[in-house]
Amino acid sequence: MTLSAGAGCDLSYTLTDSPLLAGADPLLGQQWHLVNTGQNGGTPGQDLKVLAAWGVTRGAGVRVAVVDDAVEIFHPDLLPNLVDGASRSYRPGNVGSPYPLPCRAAEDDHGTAVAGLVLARDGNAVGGAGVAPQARLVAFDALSSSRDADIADALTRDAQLNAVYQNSWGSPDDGRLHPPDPAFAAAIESGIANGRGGRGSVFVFPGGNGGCYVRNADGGACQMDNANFDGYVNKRGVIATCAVDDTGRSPWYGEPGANLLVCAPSSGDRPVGITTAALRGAYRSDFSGTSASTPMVSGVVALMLAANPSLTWRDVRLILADTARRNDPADPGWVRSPTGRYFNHKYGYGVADAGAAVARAAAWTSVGGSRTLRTCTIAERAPGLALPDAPASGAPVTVTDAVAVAACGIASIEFVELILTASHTYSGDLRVRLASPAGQVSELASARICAGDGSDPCGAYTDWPFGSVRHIGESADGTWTLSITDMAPLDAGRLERWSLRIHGR
Amino acid sequence: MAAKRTLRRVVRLAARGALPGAFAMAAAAGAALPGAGPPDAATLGTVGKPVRSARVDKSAPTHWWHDGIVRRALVLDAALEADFTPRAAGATAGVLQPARGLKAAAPLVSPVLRDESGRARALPGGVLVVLKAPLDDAGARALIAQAGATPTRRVSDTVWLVEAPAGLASLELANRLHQRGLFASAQPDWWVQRTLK
Repeated sequence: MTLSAGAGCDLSYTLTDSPLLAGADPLLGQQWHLVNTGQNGGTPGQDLKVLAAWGVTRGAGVRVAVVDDAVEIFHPDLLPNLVDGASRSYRPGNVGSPYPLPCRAAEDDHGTAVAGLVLARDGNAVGGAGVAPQARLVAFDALSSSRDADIADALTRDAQLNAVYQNSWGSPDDGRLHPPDPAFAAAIESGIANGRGGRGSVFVFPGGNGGCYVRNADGGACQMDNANFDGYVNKRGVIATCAVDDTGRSPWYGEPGANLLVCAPSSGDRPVGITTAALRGAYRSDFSGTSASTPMVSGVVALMLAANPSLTWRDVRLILADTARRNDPADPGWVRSPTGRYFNHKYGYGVADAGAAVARAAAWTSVGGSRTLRTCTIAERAPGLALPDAPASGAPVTVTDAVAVAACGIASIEFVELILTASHTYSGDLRVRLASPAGQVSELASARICAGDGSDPCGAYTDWPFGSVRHIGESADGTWTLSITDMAPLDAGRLERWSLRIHGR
Repeated sequence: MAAKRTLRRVVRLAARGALPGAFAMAAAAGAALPGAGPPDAATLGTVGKPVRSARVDKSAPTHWWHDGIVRRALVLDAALEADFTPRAAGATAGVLQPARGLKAAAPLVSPVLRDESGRARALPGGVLVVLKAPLDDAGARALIAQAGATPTRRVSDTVWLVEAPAGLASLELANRLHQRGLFASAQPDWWVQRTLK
């Protein structure tokens, strides 16, 4: 039988009866993200610590849905883990087919590489291995249509069976505010509330590659995007991931964000990429960006769920944060909170540690799912404060507004949402910070310049929903302070209104 | 003059620590892809914020849509259209192309609209309604019919896809459904530019 993604495709696949081979994976030694021995000049040990996890589980039985452009599900390193008939195509001309295959080799190679990183089969004498090499593969090519309904459909399809929804896509990394669409938000809410029998689907998304989204002609300065400008990863219930290179440091494309939970390895400033599956049954060693780090986190989650299927979506997040390895320890961005956790806006809580996460998962007492999550909504404030333009010289003025929170009933925060409306003639001038009662600061926006003809090309802060994982474990009660600073001359504005939603237990 | 002002501004921001000037030192020449180093100036040129008096606001809204409870502006991009015709079978949907004014002859061609962030959006047909609370199938279908629309299928617990033709007609239907107040929100089933990371 010959299959393709539709008429006009330059890729087609003929199914044959091939036995599953047994033997060592020949490319495993190149996969430094699994075990970094310094094979590419990197730092030994800067990896995912999978060997400790693999002694316990390899992810068997956990279904991971890869939502991407296409997946070569017949790839010899993916086929052994494929769930027959559970995948779906959204591609025009192939809609409804259980074969979301690539159509054109030049365009549709992304999802195959992503899937290989999550769950390429181990011990089959071909290629390498995924982080969870015996997890089960389901593939949805919703990015081939890129319609809101298809994205929402893919993110909720078979939510009782699919445990992890792996996504290596998002908004453009251009420094602009990109809000999530309501259908996406509803899909995430539905998944965390109802998926897996109420334990919740686990959604993993990339923080983005906009660390230098445009560079000035003088060659001296990059404009830096921020994961907090991407509505997808500000959403409660989404695990936002970052990347580190083979020395454990942030690569040039890394975006900061208060919403980043954990990082995983990927390409860096040197030409060292990630080895994974490629089209036509081949392999590549140049996969890169947060597209590569995100499926590694999904793989770690699959291992955790295999070790303890009772974990809720909230448990998964807390374990990842608590067991992450503090990489690049000399980086000045690390801050220790009163809860004893270290956080860095470049690295979240650090690099995911598969061994530690699986060990913690196996012994974890659940904090519950969506039904037991407490939410404390702080009524909207409308201070109407002027945001003075930055002076041509001298220090800019910081405008603050504070709210006292009492009897909130949340002793241990899991997620904080700040909904901000600030009118300004150039919103890219604004630095936005939120300080918790414990004095911990979420850096939510920094100043930048955006391309575009419009009057405010970075996008307006109109009910903009910032998300932060920065305050995990803190108490909600006390004074929360919003600080906004206009960092550059020529424009001014007004802090119109803001509110908080604090989630935890 | 404008370029000088832009350069001064970037330098000023960098000096204040507002921009990651040192970050660019890690740059290596190459394409704008994570694996190949950051984009270089020759690729992307200068980006800067012009003085307010020099800004030409080409973004006066031509249309609106409802992003949940937030009403958001759209600007028609007259230079482009998006083609959703079946002849594109096997290809990625919503291919942007220069506008040819084929709307009357090709019902699956949509105008392209730019949202507040400049992202291209197009209208392949269909409207997504978000229910105020989960309903069973019969209840949801009845509510949609009461609103004067035809349900296509459930998308998630609270989201339904309803019938609407491609193009601005689906935006108009979405706005009408939103304004009726029977749903938490209603929006077109947008085709949106998304980025593989």
